[in-house]
Amino acid sequence: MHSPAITQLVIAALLFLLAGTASAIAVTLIGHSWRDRRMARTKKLMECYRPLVEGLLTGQIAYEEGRDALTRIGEGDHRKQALERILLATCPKLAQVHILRRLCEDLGLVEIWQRQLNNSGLSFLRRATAARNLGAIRHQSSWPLLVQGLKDPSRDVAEVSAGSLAAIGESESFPALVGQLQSAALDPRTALSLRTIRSALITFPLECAEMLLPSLEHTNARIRFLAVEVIRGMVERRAQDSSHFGLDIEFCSPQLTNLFLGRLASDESPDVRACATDVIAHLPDSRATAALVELLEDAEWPVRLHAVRALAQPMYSAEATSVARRLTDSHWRVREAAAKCLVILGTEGLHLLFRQFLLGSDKYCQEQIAEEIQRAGLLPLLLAEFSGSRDGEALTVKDQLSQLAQIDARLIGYLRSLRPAQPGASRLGERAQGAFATTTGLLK
Amino acid sequence: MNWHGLVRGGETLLSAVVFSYFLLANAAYTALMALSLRRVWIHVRRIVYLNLDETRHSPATPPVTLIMPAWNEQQVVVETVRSALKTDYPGLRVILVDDGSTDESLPRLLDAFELERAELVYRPEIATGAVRGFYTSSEIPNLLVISKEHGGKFDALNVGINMCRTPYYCTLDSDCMLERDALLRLMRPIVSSPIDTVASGGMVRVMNGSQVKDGQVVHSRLPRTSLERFQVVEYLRGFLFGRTGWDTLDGTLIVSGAFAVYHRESVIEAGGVPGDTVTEDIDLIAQLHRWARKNKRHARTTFTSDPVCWTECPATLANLGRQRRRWELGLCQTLWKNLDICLNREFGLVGLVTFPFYLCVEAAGAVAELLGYVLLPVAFLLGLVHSPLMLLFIALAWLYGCFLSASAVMLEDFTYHRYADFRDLLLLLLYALLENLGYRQIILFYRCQGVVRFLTGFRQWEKVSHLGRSG
Repeated sequence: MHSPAITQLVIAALLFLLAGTASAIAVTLIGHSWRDRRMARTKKLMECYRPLVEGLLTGQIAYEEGRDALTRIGEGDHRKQALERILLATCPKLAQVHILRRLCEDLGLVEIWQRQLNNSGLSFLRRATAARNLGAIRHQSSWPLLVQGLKDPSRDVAEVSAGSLAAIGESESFPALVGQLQSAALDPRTALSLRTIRSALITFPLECAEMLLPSLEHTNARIRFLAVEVIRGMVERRAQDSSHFGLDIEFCSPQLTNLFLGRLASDESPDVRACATDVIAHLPDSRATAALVELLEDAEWPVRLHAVRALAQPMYSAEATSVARRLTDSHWRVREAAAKCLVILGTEGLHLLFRQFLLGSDKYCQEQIAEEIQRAGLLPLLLAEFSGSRDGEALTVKDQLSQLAQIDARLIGYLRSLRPAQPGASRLGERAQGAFATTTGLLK
Repeated sequence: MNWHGLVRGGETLLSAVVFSYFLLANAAYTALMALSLRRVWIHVRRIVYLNLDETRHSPATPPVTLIMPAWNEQQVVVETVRSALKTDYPGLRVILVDDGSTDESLPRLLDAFELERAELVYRPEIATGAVRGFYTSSEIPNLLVISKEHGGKFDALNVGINMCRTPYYCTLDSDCMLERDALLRLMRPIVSSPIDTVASGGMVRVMNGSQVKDGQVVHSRLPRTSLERFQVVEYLRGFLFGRTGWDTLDGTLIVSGAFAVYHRESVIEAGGVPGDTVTEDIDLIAQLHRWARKNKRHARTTFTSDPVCWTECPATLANLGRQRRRWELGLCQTLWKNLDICLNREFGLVGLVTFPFYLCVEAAGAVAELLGYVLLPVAFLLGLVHSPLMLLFIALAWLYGCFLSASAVMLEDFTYHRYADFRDLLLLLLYALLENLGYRQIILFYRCQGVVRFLTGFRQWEKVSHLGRSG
């Protein structure tokens, strides 16, 4: 085992490792100091730029004056880096974006970014950063370059380009993204991720939805589904801003409306039908309600679930009876959604929910309603409803509660521990408190 | 052959085994290091353009539930939940599963978050132990605390999964603290990947010594004691080199359950979190690989180095011993249980490379290393090795360990540079050099204890107690 060759080999390895370890330590220490110095310099430059940029964005400094001042400070790569960092780190208000954009153009940054994005010889890191910068300042005229970026061999560049196109929101670039969506649907491994493309498409204005018509009529169910999903996302995004949101004819042409109410509502794919319910719920058409009620009876539970959720808006309170039928659905998620929906549908919905709880015989249904009653703090309301009922129903309440107590003794404990001073009860006033006393009396 | 010859022959054979182990292990570590250096370097530059805001506001970002199992963690549990609730993520839900704590964990939680008992319907898709109760708060609607009979971490996780309503869930140990944007960072590759990701792990860093404010690490510093500092170096090496390297090869077999995201449906279909071993996180990944192969699904398991979860590492030898014995025992149990994956082509790289690596280098490595420590002096006494060569060989092993650890520190400083203080950096480098002189041998002792426990059929979970946030 102790031949000279082995000894020499070990010594050589030892020396190599010694050099490697020493280099790693030296590089770490030198690199640390170098980075600190570099960061300090960039930070210093940024501190010089900051008041100027802020002044320009707020209008306190005249544009030409501020721009010229920015041009004069710093030089070389440092200057570009500091400028990029300070300009892109600011979160300008919508009205200020154009100042930022103009500034980037005048300082020559846009030109550099466009060149970088176009230069396949550069590393993908720089191309992607350039694409991101163009999107960050919403540089409208760069959209054709970004569309090209979607086809970049680097997935990163393509992904960032999609995000930037979404930020710019140029409707002419929409079809290119739809094309990507279709490619990804047909071959998920080679294209951008569906989530990335969907996310980008959803950011576009709702007016672009018309451009999805060919995809909605596509023979491939997956493409139809994805197109419906995009429109649903667009609608939901718009609906977030308003509690009484409804699509109008401007956003939803008769062709699109008919497609949703006709073919898509009865599509062979349950995914498409389920997803379409959310859009149908916002359609400006009297047939929409009937279509949703019909979807409540769909053979597939995910469709029923989505239909119930779509109806969970106060404007559909007239459909409470149809929703209440889903309280006894065979799938617990539909039952759960139906209970939640009825709470949202207001007085009529609550009345039906309580009646089902009091008079129904389906223990799974009651279990679900009991959970919802607790979750939404509806117990005082239930008691109020009960206190006004006839004797026969009062007994039923007692029976139901006792039955539930057998299923789950904890409910009784909860009822007994309930104090009238709890927020829910106090909101309802004396009536609920009286009802509480009656119920606890009955339970005793 | 006489007795002396037999001993010499045996010694030569064992020496060859130890030497082969040394070469194999170090070659593998070197390869992983080379892969990781490039990967982390590029990833840090990618972060510049990977817009987290996009992920935050995108309707395509799936909601996530943070599931935290806790058992007798009264010192840290409230702070952990508080920190978890501050996580920046759209539609985040938090479920803490109290696994039958006998200390003040539950009362403290109820008090701190004004929780009230709620009679929720429990529909177990995975069979679990009995649930005692659910606690919610009207003030914090996205928090749910579940109290259950003690059944082990895996059981608590399964209860959490049963109550989780989001497509993905994230596990977080009750002694851990997430950085505010850690979940967004962890989910970003999942959202942008065209291939379904079933599990993804993030970076776990040592919190001891760091300055913590409002449930967040505001200034990362090195801990005060040597024992903890060695662990900082160890974590850096393990996560930046090991995990990243395997991820680059698409051969992730270990995802730390302390901080990892899983696809809920896939986990349920795979049978839930298994309870056969004491390292349920490793076992779950093996189970997911098996499920994906059986169902012909291309499901990824990944690791991302920028999402950070801070953990409190053991500050005493007793606690360190408990932790490392359990890790080694769990690794042996998991590898033994899933031995059919080893060298199985159907599992791809995981079966052909990762699994054999963990089996030969990580699990059996403890024994091989111990043999090395025993055999070298024996060989020297028998005259099989002359002393200069023995010393050179020991120096080689030590220096190689130093090289790996120093490179890990270098990579950390060049990329994430969390330890901005120059003094901390010097200390890190110093501990990287000293790690192999004493600390490694202590760890080896615990690992060997773990192997012995595996061989003797010991299965018990050893609890590591946490003292609370330090710094």
